[in-house]
Amino acid sequence: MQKKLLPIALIVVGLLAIFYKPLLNMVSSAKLELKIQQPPVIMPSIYKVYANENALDGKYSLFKMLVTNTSSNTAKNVQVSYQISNTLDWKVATTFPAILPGQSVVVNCYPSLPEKLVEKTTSSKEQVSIKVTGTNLKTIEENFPIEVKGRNDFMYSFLPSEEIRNPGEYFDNMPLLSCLVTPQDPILKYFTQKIQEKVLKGETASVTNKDEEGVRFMMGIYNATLLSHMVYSGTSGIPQKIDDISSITQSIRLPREVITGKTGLCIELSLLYASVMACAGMEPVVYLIPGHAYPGFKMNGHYYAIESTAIGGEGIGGRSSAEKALKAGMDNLKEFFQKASTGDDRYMIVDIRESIKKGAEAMELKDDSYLRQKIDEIAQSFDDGYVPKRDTYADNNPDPRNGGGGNGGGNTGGKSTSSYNHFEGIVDFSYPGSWNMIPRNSAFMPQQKYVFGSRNNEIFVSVYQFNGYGSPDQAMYAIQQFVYNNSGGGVQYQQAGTTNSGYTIYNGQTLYQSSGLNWMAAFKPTGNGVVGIAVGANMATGSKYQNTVMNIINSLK
Amino acid sequence: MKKHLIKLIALFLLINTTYTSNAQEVVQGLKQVFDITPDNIGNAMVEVSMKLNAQQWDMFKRNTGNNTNIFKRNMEKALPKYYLTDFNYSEDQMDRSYKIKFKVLGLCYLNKDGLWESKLEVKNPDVTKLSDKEFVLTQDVLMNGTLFQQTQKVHLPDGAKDARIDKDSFGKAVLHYSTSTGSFFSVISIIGMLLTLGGGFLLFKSSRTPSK
Repeated sequence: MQKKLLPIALIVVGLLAIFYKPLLNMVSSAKLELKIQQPPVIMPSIYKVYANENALDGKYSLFKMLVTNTSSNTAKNVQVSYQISNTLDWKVATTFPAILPGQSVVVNCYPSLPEKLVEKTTSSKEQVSIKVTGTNLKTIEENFPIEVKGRNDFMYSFLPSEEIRNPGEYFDNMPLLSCLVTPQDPILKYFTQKIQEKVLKGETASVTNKDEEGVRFMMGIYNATLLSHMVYSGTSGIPQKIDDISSITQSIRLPREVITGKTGLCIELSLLYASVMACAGMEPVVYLIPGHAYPGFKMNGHYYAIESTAIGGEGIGGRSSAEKALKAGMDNLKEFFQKASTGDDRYMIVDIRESIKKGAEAMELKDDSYLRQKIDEIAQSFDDGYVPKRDTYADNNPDPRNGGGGNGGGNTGGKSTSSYNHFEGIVDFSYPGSWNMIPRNSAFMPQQKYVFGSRNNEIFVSVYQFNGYGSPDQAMYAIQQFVYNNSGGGVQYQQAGTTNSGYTIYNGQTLYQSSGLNWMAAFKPTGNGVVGIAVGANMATGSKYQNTVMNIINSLK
Repeated sequence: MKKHLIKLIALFLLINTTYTSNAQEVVQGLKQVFDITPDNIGNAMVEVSMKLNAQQWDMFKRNTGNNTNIFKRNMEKALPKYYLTDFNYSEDQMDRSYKIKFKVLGLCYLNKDGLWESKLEVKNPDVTKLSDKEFVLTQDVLMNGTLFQQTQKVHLPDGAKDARIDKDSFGKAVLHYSTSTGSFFSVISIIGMLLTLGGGFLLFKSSRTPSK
């Protein structure tokens, strides 16, 4: 037995020497020290950036953590997991098989946030929890609060105030703007198709790569916004202070919201242009200057710009033609390059394709039949025959679609309410929002400039302009003669008074062989002639539309 | 690592940071040398040295002046995934050259096989292996119309061996090497194995010897 004592002792000592580290770790624990850096907020619009560790060099993580082993024992199987309250369940960020004494490791957390986050429209305060576990570790738990913004909220910088060196750094997050450029949005694609088809009548900008075709496309977008009565509306960002970070936070509507809402800020219009141009295969850019932004594109090494806010609005001094908007944009661009070349970093270009290439990708947006319907309604305004007159435009600009010559049409404003659209121009009145414009056809009287009708064709309103006429009675007589000569119908009418705004009201009937219309008309003399409207409903509908007819007549201004 | 270090060139050279509408003109000949020296616990000292011509030096000084903190700020912004410490800047005005040193914490880490690992985050790097402990990566980078001739030297710590560059599942290059620090089988472990084997042999021998 004594002979076996030595070999057994050797084996025991040998095994201890082999496994002394694991054994030591079993009885002695390691200690880790954490140092965490986190962003001030989570912006849902950049959820794809958070998920991509390569996006923009990995700058936008949920947190960055330095883990240092401050003990003299190796920390084994160290696992870092995290969760965001009401947003994301526990996930493993990373695992380290071993962290040696004195060793530091860096954990960058890039969470795959749920897509439904982009449906979030308001901010909420949430909690990020971090848990560090290991074989020979006492579990470490850390928490920090974080504000999860709404999908439209954009914070221009995450830099702490004390790290801001120049004005340009207040806009450190500018490359993220491309996350709000949505060329893949089905609604945006549909809108782009409508522009290509109805405004541009075909385009080849991305195929031929010709500068002039690119410019024509950009002007086409401008004209589309003009024709759809989109207006510019200004707002300012809200300065926000979160911990030691002071930044401007702005609510930026998505391009699809700008299209259907028919109003946009400079940055929103710029992003709309960028989306449409990207959708059409061009290389859009957004120019940022102090207090303003405008869109453009680059082609063959040249940069172009347009002043998208020149659509203005009647309420803010009128609207400009596409030519003038282009000229203004190119003038701006000259100044832009002058300033930028002197090193003024407030003058920035966001190259959308470059930003997307770096991982700043747009959110996924779902198709929406209601929004498609809205696009259809908007695209009605792109149709032939629906030619806005610039008589209320500040610069008496020409027809945006053909590049020249105003005409005798009527201007239409952009205001709309939930139930009524507002027509502004030759005359001002409101008509039901669900009505569509009926394209001009051979049955139209030459002085009949626009017709809007219900979907079932039971009721409609016509807008007339009789240049050179002296009185409303003359206009009524002309209508009577036109109906008789062109369709054999008979028109009977009688005067029913005048309005405070100078319109003479007529009640009447138009009778054809097998059908007829009951109608009311209102005309007033102007310096150049007589203008007015006639609202008619199919006789078979009886008094069904009486209120609608009265509402339209009463809305005349 | 490489990809991110490449970015540094734009930071140290503040010569061409402004927009130019004519970006086709290429300014030749800016040489930059990186020395990257990981220590035995995965941190790395990085030294960037650069020599400029008269015009470049003039522009460089005009842009930076004495504000050397700008390098730290810009580097921290350009390398957001890393923790950088121990910055040091020195220059030789007569020679129109400068050096910047800083430490990158946790650049390398131990993987499940007990090997040190560092993700190069670049596909198919042009690498020359000088020795088991030294690599040189060279490349030309065009940035803002300026051509940078870049040399990166990686000096692995004493005791490093079996250094190689593999590809991860995404095709990106990953540096691997082993050291005694990270090796499971230390000297003590080897002695332990010898003792165990010796003890086993003696035990076997004594069990075969018939008792008297």
